[in-house]
Amino acid sequence: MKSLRSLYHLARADFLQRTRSYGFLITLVLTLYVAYFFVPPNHSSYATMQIAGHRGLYNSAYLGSLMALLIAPFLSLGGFYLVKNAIGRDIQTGVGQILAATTLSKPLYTIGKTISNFTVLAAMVGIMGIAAGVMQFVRHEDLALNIPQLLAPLVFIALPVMTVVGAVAVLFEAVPWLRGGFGNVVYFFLWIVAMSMRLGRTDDPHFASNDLFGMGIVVPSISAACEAAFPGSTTAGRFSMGINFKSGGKFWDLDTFRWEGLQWTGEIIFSRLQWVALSLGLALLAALFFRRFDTAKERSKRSGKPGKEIAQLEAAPIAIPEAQVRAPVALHPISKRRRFSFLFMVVAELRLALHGITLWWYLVAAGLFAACLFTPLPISRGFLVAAWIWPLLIWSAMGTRERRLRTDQIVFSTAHPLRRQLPACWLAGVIIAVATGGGTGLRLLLAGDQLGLLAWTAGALFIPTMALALGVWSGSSKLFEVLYLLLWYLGPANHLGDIDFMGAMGPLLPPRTPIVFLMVTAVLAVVAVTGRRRQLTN
Amino acid sequence: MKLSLEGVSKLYSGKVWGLKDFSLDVEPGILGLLGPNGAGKSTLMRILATITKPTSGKVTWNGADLVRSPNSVRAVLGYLPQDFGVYPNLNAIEFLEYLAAAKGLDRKTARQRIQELLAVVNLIDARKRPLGSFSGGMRQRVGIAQALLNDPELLIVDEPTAGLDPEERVRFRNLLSELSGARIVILSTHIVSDVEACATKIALIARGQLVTCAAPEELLRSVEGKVWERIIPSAELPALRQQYLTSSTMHRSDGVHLRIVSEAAPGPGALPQSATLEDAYLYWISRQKEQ
Repeated sequence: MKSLRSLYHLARADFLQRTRSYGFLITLVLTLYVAYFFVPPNHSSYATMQIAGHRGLYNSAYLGSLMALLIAPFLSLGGFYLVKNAIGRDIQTGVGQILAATTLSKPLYTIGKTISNFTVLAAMVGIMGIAAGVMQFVRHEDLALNIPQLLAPLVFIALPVMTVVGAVAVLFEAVPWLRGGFGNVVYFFLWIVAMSMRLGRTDDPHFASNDLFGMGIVVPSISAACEAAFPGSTTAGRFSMGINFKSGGKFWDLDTFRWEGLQWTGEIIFSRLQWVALSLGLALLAALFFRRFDTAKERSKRSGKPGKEIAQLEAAPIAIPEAQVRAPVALHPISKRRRFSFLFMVVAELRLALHGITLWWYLVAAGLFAACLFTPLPISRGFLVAAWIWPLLIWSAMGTRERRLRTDQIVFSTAHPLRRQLPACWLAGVIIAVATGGGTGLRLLLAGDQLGLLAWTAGALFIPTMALALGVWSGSSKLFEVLYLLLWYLGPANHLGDIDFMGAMGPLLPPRTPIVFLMVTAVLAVVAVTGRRRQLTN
Repeated sequence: MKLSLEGVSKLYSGKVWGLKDFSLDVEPGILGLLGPNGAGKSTLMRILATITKPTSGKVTWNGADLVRSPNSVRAVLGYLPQDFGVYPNLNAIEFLEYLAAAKGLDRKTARQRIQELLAVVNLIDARKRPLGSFSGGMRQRVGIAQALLNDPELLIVDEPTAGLDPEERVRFRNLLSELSGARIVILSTHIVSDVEACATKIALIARGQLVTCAAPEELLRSVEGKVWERIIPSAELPALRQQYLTSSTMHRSDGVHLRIVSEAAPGPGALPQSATLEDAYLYWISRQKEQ
């Protein structure tokens, strides 16, 4: 009973701390907009769910399922990064030290944090539910509101996904090497894998009990309704979900069919509860890794000092020789007023950015550089894609370091921080981009490939500028890590021409793309400067 | 060299005044800012260090407006915030080299200065340890070193002795006295003895307002004849504490020795005492509260 009370208060306090912020309010407003966006009217430039040119009539059952099927993958990515700071916040605020001195057990703590993560995500799912109801009247295709059919998919499909996301977030925070940017990258690729598995299961109901995103539960029923209304429509298996824009500036005109929803049987509900049970297991697993705010163990491994050694260093007394204590102050005045050296500042920023990077990192970077330089151009472009994901965690720290490590008051009170430190930091990021992807740059130069070189230049400027702008405004490295990974995965890695910011597609790259990205870079530079100016004047 | 504040106010969200109509002229020497927690000392320091903009009023450095041209002071400023962080994976030398670059020192000057400063703050032996392994006091000393990197004309130190052991506190006070000659040093603290040891002028702040600003001896004179001692039985202590402003209480075999700050003798048997800065501080702050 006492444990339950502790659990409740732990989750409640954490939930309130997170939700009483403008950031959360903005997130909810964005969620509302997403809900609106997910329900396009006919004759729109995009469709969100369709089977070979058909979609369900926007009634309660269909809208609830549409929202659940779309929000589950959407929130399982964005939501993870949103809530993955529950333990981190306790470390940062020092509350963790207080909690560590209480009788609160580790499993109770990780379960409490999982519940808190879940409630934050569930609030967003709740907003989606309300929005789904409103959208039914906005689109007025069917005005009979059936609340159980509207909410059941959100409750049984989306919420279990949110428990898993909440628990995985806690697990990633508890495991030291998954806590930072590396964990963010690992989760992104896990999500890609989960999404690919999901797509493979849409038409196979036998996978339903193992299907996190619930596609196997809902889609076969919707497909059957479509087949009944439009015989032969589902034989081609052209089920599509996501934001699909009609090419050539055309519009989607989808034929509609009526789908009255699912019978939410005990079997289906049990299959969904399995995910909740798994979440509990993950939360308990996190407790095994969670170190209960032991600062000796919590030290960053980048320093290369194991926790025990650091603890010994801390404990070791610094001997102050008597002569030193009484020694007169020996500070010589700086005779000549110095002239600021921008080069010195850039070197300092570069050293700061690269500090603690292991030899292995340099070896891989050198290998990628060589591969870019010595392979034929089409292959070199492929290596460039890898070379410009490798320094991701170095770039993502740009613009966030000062606030995160609370050196801002010192750094921002130096002369001309906007004209000196910020550009130096940006230039250090550009140098890293040029150094890692320089092999391809040289190949393009030698080959006289003007478009390729323009795209390469746009990429080398765009990446650090984006990192700096997002870092300055968000104060966290997460936003850049997630958005850049998405952009990198869809554009250069999957050859989506409009967002291939580094020209990985080679001659197939639309010529406008590098121009657009250079313009975006300029805008982002203004955004970064504005953000830093705001930090300076606050 | 002159720092002037004219009617400076800072209104935080939630309509809380951090500073209210604060005016003061500061000239070379050590100005000690004394005040209770939440008095507005850190707000004032942050405004002077160009970290925060005042809501109204004017701050000038040698005539230049700090809001319009903050870089006029930043170039000659050394600032030790009350609450600051370090880059935990860097060692003291690397961290100071980074800040030296930001402050515009050339490499040679920076290296020489850093070596001297590390000796001054007694961190030579620990200079190559990662800052993440430093204790609170050691980090504070790194903070002191960075504030002195550019040989500042205006040195602003906010609660600089927090976390320092007694020996280091003495070293730091001595250092401030050594440095104060031709520069302005503003030292904010709520530890009266820190100010007593080195300040040439003391500004008392309460509720965001300047209570008074005077040399230590003037402050002492202002309470001369107002400090008393009474020896009373323990049972009378609560009542007298309610009635008078007490600056200290000591239990002795003959009763409780109560030190009282009062305009008139606090009852029969009260003996006049020579005033300390702590008495003066309590006297002025309590007067402000009464207003």
